[in-house]
Amino acid sequence: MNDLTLISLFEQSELIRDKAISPTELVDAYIGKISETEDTLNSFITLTLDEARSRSIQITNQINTGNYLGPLHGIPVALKDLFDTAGIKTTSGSKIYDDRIPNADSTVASRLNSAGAILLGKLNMHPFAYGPTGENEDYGHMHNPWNPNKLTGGSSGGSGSSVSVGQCSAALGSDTGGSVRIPAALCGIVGFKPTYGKISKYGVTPLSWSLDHPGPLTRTVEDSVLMINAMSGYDSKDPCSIETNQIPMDFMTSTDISGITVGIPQEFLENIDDEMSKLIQNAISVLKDLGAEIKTVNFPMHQYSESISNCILMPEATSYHRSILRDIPEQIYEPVRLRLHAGMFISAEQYVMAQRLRRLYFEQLSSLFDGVDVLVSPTEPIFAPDILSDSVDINGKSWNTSSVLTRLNRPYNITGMPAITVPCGYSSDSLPGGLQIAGKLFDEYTVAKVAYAYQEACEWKTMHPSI
Amino acid sequence: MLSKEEFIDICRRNNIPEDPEYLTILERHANVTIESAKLLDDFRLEQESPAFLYRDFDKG
Repeated sequence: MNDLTLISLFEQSELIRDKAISPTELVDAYIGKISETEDTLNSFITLTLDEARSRSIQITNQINTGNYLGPLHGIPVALKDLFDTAGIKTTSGSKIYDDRIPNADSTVASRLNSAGAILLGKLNMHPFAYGPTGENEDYGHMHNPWNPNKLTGGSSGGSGSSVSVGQCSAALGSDTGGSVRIPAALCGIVGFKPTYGKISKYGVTPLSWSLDHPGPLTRTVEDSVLMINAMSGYDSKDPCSIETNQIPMDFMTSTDISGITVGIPQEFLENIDDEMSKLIQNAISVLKDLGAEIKTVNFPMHQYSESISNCILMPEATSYHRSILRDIPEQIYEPVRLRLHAGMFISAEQYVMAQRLRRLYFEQLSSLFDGVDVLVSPTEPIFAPDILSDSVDINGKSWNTSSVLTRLNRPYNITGMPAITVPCGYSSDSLPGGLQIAGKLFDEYTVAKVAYAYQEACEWKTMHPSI
Repeated sequence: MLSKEEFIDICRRNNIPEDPEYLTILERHANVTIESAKLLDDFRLEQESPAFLYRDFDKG
């Protein structure tokens, strides 16, 4: 049998259901992998391995006595450390909250628990989720499994590294300007941000409540869909929660995507690393070979993506963290403190203006779907940069690292549309690239169908980092 | 771009600690942020969605 820690959640689930492996064997395999790799990667803030092992024994007994709950029963997962877990430290990536132990679970933690998932621990993250790099001086920087000198991306950096190397079956992240998709792309795995409101934010530390989306990071498309299905559904505790249908799994029955039109926004192909451009062109050719019609489209308002996002995100983040910013600013990681203070320079009028322009922006991006089913682009213009690099070079021109990392992700936070990243190949330095596929609001199914077809046509899901 | 006086005024109103080294870096961040926000001035909101036109006093 292949390395248990690296096969997909979907396959693990079938093995558990068929009693070919037990949840305890799977948890033990992950405990072994964590002990081998954690010193290098620093994926976790808190490990709950003793509790995980005890729970796995209980669950193994449940399954052996005919009480199998479904695809997540006995599956080991880990959560970004901003999802509240009752009785387990939840820090939001800052030592300020190092002794904070919530009394209640976040809705997602509760739903994963009810589905029979086993929590292995709480994952490292950019402090307060306020940065796309995965750097954290409080708990140590996160390290990319493909090259530990490189960024994992963030803010869900520990989620990216842990799933990529096989420290857990799946992880949960949150995405405000790309924080699920960025680390997934830089670490060579799948990250799926569903429609805004599909997964409850109750018990999740906000970064920017009108842009925040929880979402899974997994090794395959089908794994992400299983995770979303386990966590979604209306939650009266989250005022933005929406009742939605489960995503049917029948996208796995065929990789024929004839009849689907793929739009390529030309603005999303500008200022992209040359090697990344080649990967994306190859990926588009694969989609065409699978039967999709390829169509060029334009999204001129993309030039305002960063401005609209910043004018909403920054004041909301500053507002949420206002009390610690006033009382103990020196304890906040300096790059995050600078962003929080900079948010004070956005006026109320600019915040409202950005929220109003968001409607025009949404209408323009939505109108593209009149002629296409999904939009495809690189997830990132670049491959993983070095840790602590303020700027990156793209074909001879220097750019701000954070600005580049969020550039192609923000449109789908502003609009709330579902977007996935799937691995699409490697650079000459063996660093992974990601293909982003986005769809209409609530059309996760078509996004998953195209992503799955692409995944199955390529060999990328079989490639893993070798630390 | 903010004048020095405007920058200091906003810092004082928000109780931002007066560490000169920190304030120098923050001023750079603040100016980048403000320049980014100013891009939105391109819009006159003339094509705005009807739902948002209600009581739009900009339009007279």
